[in-house]
Amino acid sequence: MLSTSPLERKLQLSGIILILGLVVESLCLLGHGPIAFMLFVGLGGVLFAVGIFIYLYSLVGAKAEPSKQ
Amino acid sequence: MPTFLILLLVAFSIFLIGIFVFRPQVTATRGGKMMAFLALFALPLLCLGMGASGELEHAKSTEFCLSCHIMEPYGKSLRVDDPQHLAAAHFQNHRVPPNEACYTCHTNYAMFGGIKAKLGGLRHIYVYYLGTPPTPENIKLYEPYNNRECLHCHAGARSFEEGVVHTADPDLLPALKANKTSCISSGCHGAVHDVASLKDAKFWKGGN
Repeated sequence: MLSTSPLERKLQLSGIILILGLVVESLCLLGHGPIAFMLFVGLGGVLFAVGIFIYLYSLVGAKAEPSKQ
Repeated sequence: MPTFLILLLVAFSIFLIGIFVFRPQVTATRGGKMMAFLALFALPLLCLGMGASGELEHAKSTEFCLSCHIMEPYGKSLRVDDPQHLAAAHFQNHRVPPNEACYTCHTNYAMFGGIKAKLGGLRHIYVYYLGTPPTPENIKLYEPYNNRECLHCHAGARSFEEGVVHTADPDLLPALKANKTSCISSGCHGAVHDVASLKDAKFWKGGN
């Protein structure tokens, strides 16, 4: 399922992680206790941060490729 | 913002991100790149911000604070049928918003007070799940209760500024305002939650 192009693969990976983060966020918003709050801050926050970081990193990588050639 | 609107935005974001997961080649075009920025950066940040705001708002609710078993007696103390009972009198007479009763008195009305209150809340959760929580009667505040929290509402109020007891001694009001004499521990408004004596108390049945 993952693309063979490195840029597209990073975008796919970023997308999958962000979707997981969004699912965690939705579940936490439907929950009401402190556990939901902790999951939102801990797990959700980390998934969002990693997903966005991979997306931004893929942009930097995509810019760097032509200069190598 | 209502939770269902945030969930709607989350569902829309998942749909857009799904396009890039299943068809990453759409980023080859300029429009695709702009869409990728929206779906993989802007929308997730917006969802995170709105979700965090919703969660933080929910964490202020009385229901949230009382969801830990250890806090049940404190919730019961809000329904004690005794006007001398400070927390109960505030809750039952809507001197504090009933749906944010705990937060209204236990936040810190100073710079970054809300953040300090939230960090205190995280410490509660840590102690509750990973530490050794004390019995409800033995729960103590991290630092003595500051009159500033009372004065946030009462300062300037006629009942406070011109109250018979408050004005009987001319030094009392300045001492209260400077937090030199505590509203609570000086003995004047001492019965706050008093969870140790709840088994003998009568409870108000209204307000549900």
